[in-house]
Formats: sequence, structure tokens, C-alpha cells
Amino acid sequence: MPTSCVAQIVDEISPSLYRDFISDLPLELSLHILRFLDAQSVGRASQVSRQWQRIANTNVLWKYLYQNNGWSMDAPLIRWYNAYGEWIHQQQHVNWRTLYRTRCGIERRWRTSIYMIQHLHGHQEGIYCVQFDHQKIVSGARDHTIRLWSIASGNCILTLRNGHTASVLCLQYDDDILVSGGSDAIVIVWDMRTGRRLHTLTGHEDSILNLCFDEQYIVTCSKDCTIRVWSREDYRLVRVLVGHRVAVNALALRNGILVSVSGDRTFRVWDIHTGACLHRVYGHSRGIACVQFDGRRIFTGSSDRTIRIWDVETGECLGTLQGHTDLVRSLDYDGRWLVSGSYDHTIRVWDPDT
Amino acid sequence: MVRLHSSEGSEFEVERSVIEKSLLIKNMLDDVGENDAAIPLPNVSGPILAKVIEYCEHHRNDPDVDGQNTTKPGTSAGASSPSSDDIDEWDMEFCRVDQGTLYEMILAANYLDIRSMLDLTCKTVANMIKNKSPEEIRRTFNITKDFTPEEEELVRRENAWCEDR
Repeated sequence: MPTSCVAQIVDEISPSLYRDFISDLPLELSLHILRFLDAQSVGRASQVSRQWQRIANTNVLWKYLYQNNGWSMDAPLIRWYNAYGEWIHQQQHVNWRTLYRTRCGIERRWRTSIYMIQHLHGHQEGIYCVQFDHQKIVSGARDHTIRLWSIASGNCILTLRNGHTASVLCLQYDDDILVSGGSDAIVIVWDMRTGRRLHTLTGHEDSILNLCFDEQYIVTCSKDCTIRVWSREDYRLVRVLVGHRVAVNALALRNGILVSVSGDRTFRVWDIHTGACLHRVYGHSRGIACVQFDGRRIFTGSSDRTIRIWDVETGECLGTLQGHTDLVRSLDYDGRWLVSGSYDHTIRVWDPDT
Repeated sequence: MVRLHSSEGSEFEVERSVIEKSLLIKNMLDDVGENDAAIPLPNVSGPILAKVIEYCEHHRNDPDVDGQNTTKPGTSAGASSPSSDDIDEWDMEFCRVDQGTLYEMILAANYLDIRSMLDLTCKTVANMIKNKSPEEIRRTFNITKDFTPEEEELVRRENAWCEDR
């Protein structure tokens, strides 16, 4: 058979050997195929042809890929991404591909320690405590003041003076109130909207080392070895939790369960409603400095240089994170990453699920 | 037994419990009750209907997960992402057909509403796309690149972020 003839036959039968599934199938089925791919493969698929590009960029596909990564989405988060100049919102419409991309970029920065440093100038002396959300940062310092900063501009929006007469050691805020504690052994409740001082809680006999609050209670702990539970509504002292033998360094509160850590090397788990001590665990070989609690697991950081993970139900140690070469001073957990700050001058990022 | 007529009029006989993997046929049978009339399937050709029956026969004893364990958007749990890697040997062999046939199988599985077969056939296509460069994908499906060089460069840059994970 002459070559030209073979070529002709090949030309005639090849359409039946191949099929452009993505272009030819109904859109719903093309998307059902692409749904089984990862973002990388979808990205490559969109470079195949104009039609593939249109289909691979379909918003609902990216919504699916995004949710399938176990990523949640909340409105403040979207606003936050928007603040970074990404076009995500258009009349209640979420661009899921852009959202996915931004989220990927953030994940990558967490993994590779790519970061940018921005200095905020204002405090006269060392900063002891900080909390932030998508819009603002609140910091308390040795200079007796608390400052509110805008993340977008980096400017100090508000300074709370005339409150503490010594270092501000701890603070927490929500939409309504800001609560701060200091070396002056007092706890101040501020109006978060106006910056007005609402109340002063007195009773502790030494520095307030940490505090936390929920809808019902304000809980404070002190160098005086006690934990005090106050009513958020009327600032009444509800009860004093005693047991720790030296300073209570930090607290974590969630769903009515309070975890306290102390220089006495133990952490205690309390029922906030009854004041009952549910567990007392010797957690570390030296004092415990900081704690985080996700409702199921307790994370503790200690001057023995380790971080330990505990089961709140059983008090059992689930793991030890080693790496820091000095005291682990602070911990934060956002549901995904556990971040620790140490006197060894490093910040480490841990994946507590692995 | 249920009688089915393919698009060219070929007749197939199949046990009711087998073909009820097809929600379309199951609903039809539930609605009209079993009778002697053949069910016409004008959208499905004989060879494809034979494949469908082969699939239903092989999977007749599978736990009835259709309608639950599906990968419809929004219904799948975040943690258990759908994977195209979990195809067993029989299913793999079942899908080793030319692209034209696979294409018809997807349409038939969708039309007859056999969710697990639709997932299987779509996963098979996904695996033909996975981990390939755009050029390799074009070769796999004999697709002509219709981008201008400028457009190609633009779309490449738009998707560069997908690469560095």
C-alpha cells in the first residue's frame, strides 16, 4: 500500500481514536473529570487550548478544589485577602481561583519562611504582649501603655495611657472589651470601641502574668500562685482557684475548660463552672511558661526547651517537640500551625498533626 | 428479568437487581412496575450498553454507596479528597478501551445515572491528564493548540503559580 494511502487511512480513522473529552463533553461532565485533579494539573490543563482554558478556569471547579483542600472560608478572611490587593470580591461573588492562589501563596510562605519585616514605632520600652486580627494589632508594653495599630497603614491608631502604673504584661480583646493585666497587680477592662476604661479588677497580690476571657468569665493568673475567675457581666469575683505552688504563668480557656501552667512544672485542667480541678499533670522537667488549647489538645512550652502535646481528656502526653535551645516563652496555634517563640532568639513553626 | 433496547434496537436481557445500579432504570421500574415491555434507551448504543451491563454485573454485590459516597461538589468531606489513584485492577482493565468508547461510556453512565461508573470513567480520563505537560496532554487527545504565541505565554504566566508548590 503506498504511503500516501496509509496516511489517508490514518487521517480518516484518527478522529475515532482520539476524543477531546474536556471540550466535547457537557460542561458538567468535563468539570467532573477535572475535579479529580490537583491544582497543578488543572493549571496545566488550562494551557492546552482556549476551550480547556475556559473550562479549567470555571469558578465552581476552583471552589471545589479549595474546599477539598480542607480550607474553610470566612468573610473576614476574604476581606483580609482583599486588603492585600487581590481581586476576590465582586458583588458578593468570590473568585475561587484567586482565593485558592492566595491561600497557596500563604501556605508556601509558612513552609519556606519567606517573610517581610515591618517595624511599628511608638512604644518607648519592651513589648510584653500582643494580639491581632485581620485589621489591627494591639500591644502592651513595659512603658505602661497599650497601643492599637492599623495593619494596613502600620500607624498607631490609639494609645491607652492612664491605666497601668507598671508594665502591661498581658491582654486580650474581642469586639466589645479589652482586658489588660500588669506588674501593678491590677486588671483593667477597657471599652474596645472607645478606649474608655470601664472597670478595674483588684485582688491579686502580685503581677498579673496572663489572662483570658469568654462570654461569661474573665480569668486571670498571677505570680501570687492563684487564678481568679471574675464575672464578665458585673465584674464580681466568682472564685479563686488555688493549687499551683509557684507563679501561674499562663492560661487557656475553651468551652468551659480552663488550662493553667505554672513554674511548679505542672499544668492543671479545671472546670470553670464548678472550679473543680480535673487533672494535675507533671508535664515538664522545668517550669512551664506558655500554653495553647484547641479544645482537644493542650500544647505546653517550657524552660526545659521542649513543647509537649497533651490529650485534655486523659492528661496523656501525645508528643514532644524538640528543637529550641532555650526556654520556650510563647506559643500560638491557629488550628493549622503551632508557632513557638524562644529565648534562643528563634521562632519555629510546627505542624502538630505530623 | 428486564429487557432493554439499545439505540439500534438490539435487545438485552438483564436481571433487575443488576441493572438497578442505574438509578434511571430503577426509578422507571419503581414507577411503572415490572412488565414485559422493553425499556428503550435511545441514547445508548449496543456495544456501550454491553459495557454498562458488564459493569453492573461485576459490581452487583458492591455495597450500595450510590448517592452517598459520591464526589458531587459540596457533599464530599474536606479531609477525604477524591483521588483518581484508587481504581482497582478490574475497573482499570474495564476502562482500557479506545477514547471514543470511553467517551460514550461517560455519557451513558451519566444518562443512566450510575454514579460509581461515572466516577470511574471520569477518573480514568483524569489520569490521562494528570502529571502531563500541556503539550503531552494535546498529544494524548490529539488537540490542536489554538493559542497565538502571545496568548500561550500569557496563559503560561497566569498558571505559573500552580507549579511551585
